[in-house]
Amino acid sequence: MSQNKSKPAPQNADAEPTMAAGGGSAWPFVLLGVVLFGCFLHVENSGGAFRADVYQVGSKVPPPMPNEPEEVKLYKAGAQLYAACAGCHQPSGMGSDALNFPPLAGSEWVTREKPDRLIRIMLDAIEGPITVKGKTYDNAAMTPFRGALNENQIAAIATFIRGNKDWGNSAGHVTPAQVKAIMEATSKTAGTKWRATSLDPVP
Amino acid sequence: MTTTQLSSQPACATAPSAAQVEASCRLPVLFLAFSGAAWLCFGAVLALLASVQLYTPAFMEGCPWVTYGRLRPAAVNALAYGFALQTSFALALWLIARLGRVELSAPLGLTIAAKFWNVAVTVGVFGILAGDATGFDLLEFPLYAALPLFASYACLAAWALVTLHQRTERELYVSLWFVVAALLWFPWILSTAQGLLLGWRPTGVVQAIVAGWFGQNLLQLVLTGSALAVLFYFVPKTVNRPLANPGLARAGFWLLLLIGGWGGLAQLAAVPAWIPAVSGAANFLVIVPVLALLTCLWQTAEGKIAEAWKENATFRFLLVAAILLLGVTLRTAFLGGTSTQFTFFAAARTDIVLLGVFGLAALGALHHIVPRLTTGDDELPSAGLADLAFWAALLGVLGVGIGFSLAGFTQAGVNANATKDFLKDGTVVIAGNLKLVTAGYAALTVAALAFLANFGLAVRRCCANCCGGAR
Amino acid sequence: MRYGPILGAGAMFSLACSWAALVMAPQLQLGSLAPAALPNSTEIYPPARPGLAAQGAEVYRSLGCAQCHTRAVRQTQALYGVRLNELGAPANLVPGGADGKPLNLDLLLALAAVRHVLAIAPVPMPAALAGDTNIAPKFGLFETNRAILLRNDLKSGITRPTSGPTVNELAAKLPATILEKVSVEEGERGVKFLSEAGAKAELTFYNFGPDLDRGWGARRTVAQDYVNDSPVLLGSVRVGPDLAGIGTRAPEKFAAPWKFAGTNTAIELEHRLLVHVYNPRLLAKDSTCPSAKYLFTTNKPAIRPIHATDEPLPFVFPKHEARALVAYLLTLRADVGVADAPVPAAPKAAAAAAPKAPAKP
Repeated sequence: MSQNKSKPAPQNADAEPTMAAGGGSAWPFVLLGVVLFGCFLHVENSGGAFRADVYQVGSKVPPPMPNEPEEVKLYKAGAQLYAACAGCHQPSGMGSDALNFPPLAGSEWVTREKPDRLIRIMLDAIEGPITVKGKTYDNAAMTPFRGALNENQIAAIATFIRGNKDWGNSAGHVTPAQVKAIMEATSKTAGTKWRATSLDPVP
Repeated sequence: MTTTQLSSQPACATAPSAAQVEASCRLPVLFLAFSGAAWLCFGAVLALLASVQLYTPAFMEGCPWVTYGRLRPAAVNALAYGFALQTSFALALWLIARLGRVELSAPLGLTIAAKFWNVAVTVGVFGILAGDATGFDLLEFPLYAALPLFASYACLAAWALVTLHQRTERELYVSLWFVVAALLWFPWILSTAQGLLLGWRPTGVVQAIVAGWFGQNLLQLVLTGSALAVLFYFVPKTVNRPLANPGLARAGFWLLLLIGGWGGLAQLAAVPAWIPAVSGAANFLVIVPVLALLTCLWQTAEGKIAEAWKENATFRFLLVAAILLLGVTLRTAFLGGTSTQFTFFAAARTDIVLLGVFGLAALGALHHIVPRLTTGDDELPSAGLADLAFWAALLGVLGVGIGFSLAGFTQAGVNANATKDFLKDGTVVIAGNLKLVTAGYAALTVAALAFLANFGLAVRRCCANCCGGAR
Repeated sequence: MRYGPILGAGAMFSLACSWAALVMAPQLQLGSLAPAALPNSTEIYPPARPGLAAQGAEVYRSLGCAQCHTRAVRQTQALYGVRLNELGAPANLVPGGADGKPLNLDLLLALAAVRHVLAIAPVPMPAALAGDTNIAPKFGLFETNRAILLRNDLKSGITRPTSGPTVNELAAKLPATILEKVSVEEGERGVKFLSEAGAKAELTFYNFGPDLDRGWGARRTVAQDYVNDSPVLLGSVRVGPDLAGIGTRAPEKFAAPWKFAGTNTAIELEHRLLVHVYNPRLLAKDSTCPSAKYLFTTNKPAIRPIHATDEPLPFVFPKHEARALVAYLLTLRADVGVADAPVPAAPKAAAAAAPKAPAKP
């Protein structure tokens, strides 16, 4: 067909398409039902029960290995965080007699049965004369860690210094809950450093 | 027969005639159609250049503006927003006006909004080439282009819906169902996706899920819906019969709306298994509404197909679009699983739907609409150019689809077998298939140019008639 | 249908359905993922990218690398195994093994139950322990149980070889692989048996898939891997190889494999990636990756240069974008085991490592 001469418009060129009356078939819905059943089967087989952690059905991810006990986790974390204390108390935990830093290794303040005194000292620091392993130290330079470390971190460091066998300490671990309880109980006196005498009533 | 009560008599005495309706449509629809076709040409050229770079990496090397990673998204987004969506607006406006027997409200406003849309798309395409692409398929326009895009769409859709509200023919024909659904769907998915990806961004793979959901809704509901609107209008009109079995069409319409948005994520990686499982199931389920709708069309046209093919240029485009719709639906369902993941086979779906299902249907419709709005005839001035446009577009879509699919099969083989060398058995071997893709995009450019030439002839004839000069 | 609003309402409902299922539900499941500690560790995964690598992610996005490269590793199968790490606590051990090592008699029986293809040799009681009323009966008990086990073998039709490796040999050299590439149920059963005998055993993982065979990663990528990425550039076509694990890929696993030339693998990999970005054809002739020469300059800044291989080219220097892109690529890894996707782990040392004390002065 070459150049198109203007054909006369067909009769109903202006007419719009019309719809036949009635109509309606059931077969799409029947087919839909059948295919939907297949879809449900498919999703059940390969959908992994709509879980967020299943990436391929059939390769079950086994439950995570039981985590090491909390004491061990706290100890390991505390070993890293101890750097905050090592500046004065030394990486060896021996402190420094010359610089008036009491030792932590073998210290009876650290290895008391209850960690309450230790936690208080870590939260708000201690000043004034204190006798550790027979020697007296008097230093106002300790930094309080109440705002700087959260209860998990303080519990970790406390667990580490209390249980460090290389230092000869083998006292029990400290939980973050214990630290938090003491944080709240002493919140009124936050900012005031402890003294050996003011810690006397603490078990 | 009782079917004629909805025929050419106006529903009420004050309803405008078809000629008046079309006179009101002239400016916005012609502008949108022309811009759409121009973007088809430009987008196809960009896609052609990008496809050459796939096997000749030294082509246009050395300039960051045209590196493949920027050229390909620029091409796809130009085709999607510049060609496909603009043309769907043109079709939507014309269908609303004709089927509702109402003049378009605010034709000048619509044209200005369309101009802003074009500006936004141009800025967006240049933004992608400059390196500001967002990284999400089909949503690559940077924020500074995406916002004006949404704003101009809001105006277009608002006026279109106002026109619809003022319609004199109150009964909504099937095409208008699809048109209204698409007009409403697009801003909802666009605002959701852009709000979630450009605004408040979720963490991690949820972004990829949102982008995939948007792409699926755009292709399956907005663009395929527009193609179906065109099909349901022109098929009964061309074969001069009423639409058979509207109940089937209604069932297909609602099922498509309910199911169509669920697919598209079957090949998403790094997400929990239920998402590809549900999406893959939906890809199968969507066959049901597509079959229902195509059956309805088949029953309408049965027996008259060969005759309509010979006589009517529009019908040819639409028949092929319908076949491609069935083909891409089946292809996605049966071959869209993990075996073709991360291959060109999967990527080709966008091209086939954009250029094949929607592109061919839209071009076919425009071959009828443009002459009606310019010269008043039913066909464009040059039948030769119309034939060229059809065959070039058909060959173009087939070239792109088949080339990418074959390349994808080779890549799937390499993906599944670690002993195959990635370069030798993958990259080198697919060069031939990719050359077919280049030829396909070239053919599409030719088709777009043929249509534009025909458009120009029609406008020239229309101007000549108006100005009275003898040409 | 006459009423437009019904159509609108229906459309909104349909859209809401797919939105709820495919956008809202994944967001509820995955939206709260954040960098989190790895199992049994305090290390956070995924780690935040250093500044240069974060800028490199922007270069990756801007150049559109995701159009050709995916960053997602697939895996087709996962199998399990059992590894025996320690014999057990002192309460389970008796002396009497070869070279003076202790034995865990219950463990030997458990191993025999788990590994049917191995023989179980009798364990004679050392003469020196004859008088020890705590330990001597244990050997007798072991012999009784061993006889029962062998009788049950006959009933269940299990034939153990009479020669060849025995469970005693297996338990003598730790860590020992007890089971390999079995289903998760068998693996968990094995771990349970061995743990009940007092030993420390762990479940090991084997991952399979073509992507893993290619060295593209040690496991599939999961949602947790992408929580630090914005935008997430998963990619959808593999025109080029997958990049999820390119920061830790072995040199022979590249698309153009090579042998490490020097001693500093990180620097060599960085150099190699810079050369690839400069011109991929220099490293792999068939590569279709576009070159990014515009990210390099011949003006010498104070940064080390790269020298393209095999061709006498003048020195070129990477600009900031090239270095950022390569820094980003070097941070990509797919070999860290997370809860949703474990990886085969290196065997632990035989003795549980005691926490090290701070160095003594």
